[in-house]
Amino acid sequence: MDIVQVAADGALVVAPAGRLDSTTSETFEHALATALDGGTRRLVIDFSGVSYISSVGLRVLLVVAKRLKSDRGALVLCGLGDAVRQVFDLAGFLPLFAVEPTRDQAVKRAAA
Amino acid sequence: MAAEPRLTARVEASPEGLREAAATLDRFEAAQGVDPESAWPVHVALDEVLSNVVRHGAAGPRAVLIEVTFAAIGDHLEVVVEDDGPALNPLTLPAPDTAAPLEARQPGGLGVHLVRNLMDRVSYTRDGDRNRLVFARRLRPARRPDAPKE
Repeated sequence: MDIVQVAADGALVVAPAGRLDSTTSETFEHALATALDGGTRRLVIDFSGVSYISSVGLRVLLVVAKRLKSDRGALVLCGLGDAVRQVFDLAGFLPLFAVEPTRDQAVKRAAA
Repeated sequence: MAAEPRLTARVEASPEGLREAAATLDRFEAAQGVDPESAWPVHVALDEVLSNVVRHGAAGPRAVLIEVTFAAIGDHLEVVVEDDGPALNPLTLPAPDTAAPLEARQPGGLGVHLVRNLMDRVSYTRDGDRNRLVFARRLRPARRPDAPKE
């Protein structure tokens, strides 16, 4: 799985590409854990390149969200396509996360 | 009556095996002309079911073998997952609390919850010393080259 990371206005944008499933979630988890260990507290995850997400990917998001919440950080998600949004909806994840349509809006919200 | 098209992969219950099974599903979809945009729920269900077998089988003393068969039955894509691991009916697992606040959320049970909700039908049988899980979803066919444009 390719994961692009970009710093934007005080936030780190992490954009994974492809399928977020049990064959790729370890790479995703490692990238996020490395960012948090390195001091990132304002995090945007851009899902626009993700074709679908399974429960292992959801588990990674839960871990990151809990950690950022206890660190008083910010986590904003953006670029959710139909497949990702449907899985979030079924899992009851939409109320747990700040979600914005675009990366620009997500970065603004994370920096606020 | 012609037999329905099907494709079988025999893989080990391991990360490599999961990759191989997903690649076989890709090949089956391509051969059947399935609209790639519509097949993602089957990929998610396959990932959930197989990773359950891997996790459960890892506790046992020997490598678990999985046989996955993809079949096009009418307008449904059906997947049969058989393994020779310890008896495990994932459909008996309790449903997760999908309304709990973040602090109380546990990741357990979400996978089976997704399979139940994304598939049109799911069933489990213990068949001798094998687990047999069958799930299916109706898919949009890709537009055939000879079909008139809509």
